[in-house]
Amino acid sequence: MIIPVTVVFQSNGQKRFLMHNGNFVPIEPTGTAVIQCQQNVAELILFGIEGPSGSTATITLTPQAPHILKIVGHPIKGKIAQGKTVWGDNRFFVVK
Amino acid sequence: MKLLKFFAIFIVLPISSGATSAVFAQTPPESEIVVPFVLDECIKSFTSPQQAATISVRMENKAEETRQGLPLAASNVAPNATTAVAIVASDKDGRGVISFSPKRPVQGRATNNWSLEISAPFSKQDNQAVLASLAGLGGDIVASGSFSRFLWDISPADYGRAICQECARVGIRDLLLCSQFGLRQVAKQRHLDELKRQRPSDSSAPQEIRQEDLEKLDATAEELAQRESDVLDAKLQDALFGRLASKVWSLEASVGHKERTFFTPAAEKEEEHRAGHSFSAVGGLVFQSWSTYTKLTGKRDYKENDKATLCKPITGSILENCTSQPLGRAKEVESLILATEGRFFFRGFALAPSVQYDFETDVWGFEAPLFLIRNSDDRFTGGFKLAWRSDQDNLVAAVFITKPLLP
Repeated sequence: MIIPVTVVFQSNGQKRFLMHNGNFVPIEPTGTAVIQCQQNVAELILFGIEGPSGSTATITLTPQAPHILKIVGHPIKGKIAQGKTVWGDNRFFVVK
Repeated sequence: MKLLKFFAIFIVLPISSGATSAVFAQTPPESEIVVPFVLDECIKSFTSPQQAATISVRMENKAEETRQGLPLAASNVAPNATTAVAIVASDKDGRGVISFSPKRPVQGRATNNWSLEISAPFSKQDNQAVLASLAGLGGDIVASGSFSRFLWDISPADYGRAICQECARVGIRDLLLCSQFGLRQVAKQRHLDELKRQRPSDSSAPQEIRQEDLEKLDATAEELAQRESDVLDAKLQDALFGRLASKVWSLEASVGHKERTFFTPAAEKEEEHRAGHSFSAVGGLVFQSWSTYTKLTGKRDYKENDKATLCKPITGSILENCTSQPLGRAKEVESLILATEGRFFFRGFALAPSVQYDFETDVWGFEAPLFLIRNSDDRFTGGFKLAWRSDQDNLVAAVFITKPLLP
């Protein structure tokens, strides 16, 4: 069963990227993207931002109701370290 | 023994137990292992596109994308993709700039930007605000349009291999914990357990630790884990971004109009409306801790001739009424300019020095903007810059301030 999951990727960096299961995901100017996930299957997102050090990112995943998300460390928060121009991390999650 | 130790970690760090809610500050994890960690599967998931292909769906607007750059008008080499107004002013003159860049979806690994920029000097007599920017056009109004493309140059496979191996090394058993965040939480839990074990022998058992002691231990464990993860995160960021995080290229066309008057050799005052124009190509490399841009500009502009003075006697007076105008039409000046800029970000400020060279006139230019002021969104919005060019041989200081028009 395929379940849409809305990803809201807010960042004050200059650029950002989002990958889902090895594919780049287009992000709307609003910071929103939708990924299609399989129920009860481990999914992977990889994400990052570019910008001045101190730039932050907050990523929130919301599966279509009534499904729920199993994820560690959510909402996802990140920050470009001092003296750096990029930051990235990943999450595995399951939609139940 | 090692295996037992790792097992012990997961006895005290179950994925969903209520006891770990303090550790997982963002979301309490589940108690059961949701997805067993298998190293090969973990690595593979970073490299092979799976059946669940991702598609984009247009959503209703919620909030505008923040796509900030360094302040408008502060730098003249790196591509601009902001919607903002700016002022740059020296003691002699200033220039106002407005820029518009439509918001566009981030298409996979690339981002395309269009932008339109219009600028005008405060004074029509003097274009000092162009400062050392050799590629800038002199005009009462200058319009520039540009297209830029930004491409991520990341290595998901290298990153996946590095993080999955690290997760295996620390004994992670649930795939959902395998992230930089998860590794930090595991490290924190390990330090917390160690600190509890190291408590004096006459102290109470771990389950009887007072709340305030627990909070102190938790803070110490957090600090130790943070120190440990700083090193690990740097290694993982290196794996993801390599030395080169992204590339950018841009094409730009500009036209500058100036209304000019001049004297003909017959001492008649005439007007001319020829417009200067320029074309530029920019390439940029974004490294993990700095970025650099190179711009090649071909320019055709107009330079006014030296002034001549025409004096006419005033009727009934011995005095004369004199006016000065350039003698003859403005000279056409062609230039080929190579410019390079570096951008460096520090805790409270940023620098973007640039060097420019005009091959036609053998003139050097140098600019050093220092970005000091940030707004409430933590975006650089102002600072000052020093500029120098070899044909004028004087150092010009200017301030600049930007107001983003979109969040």
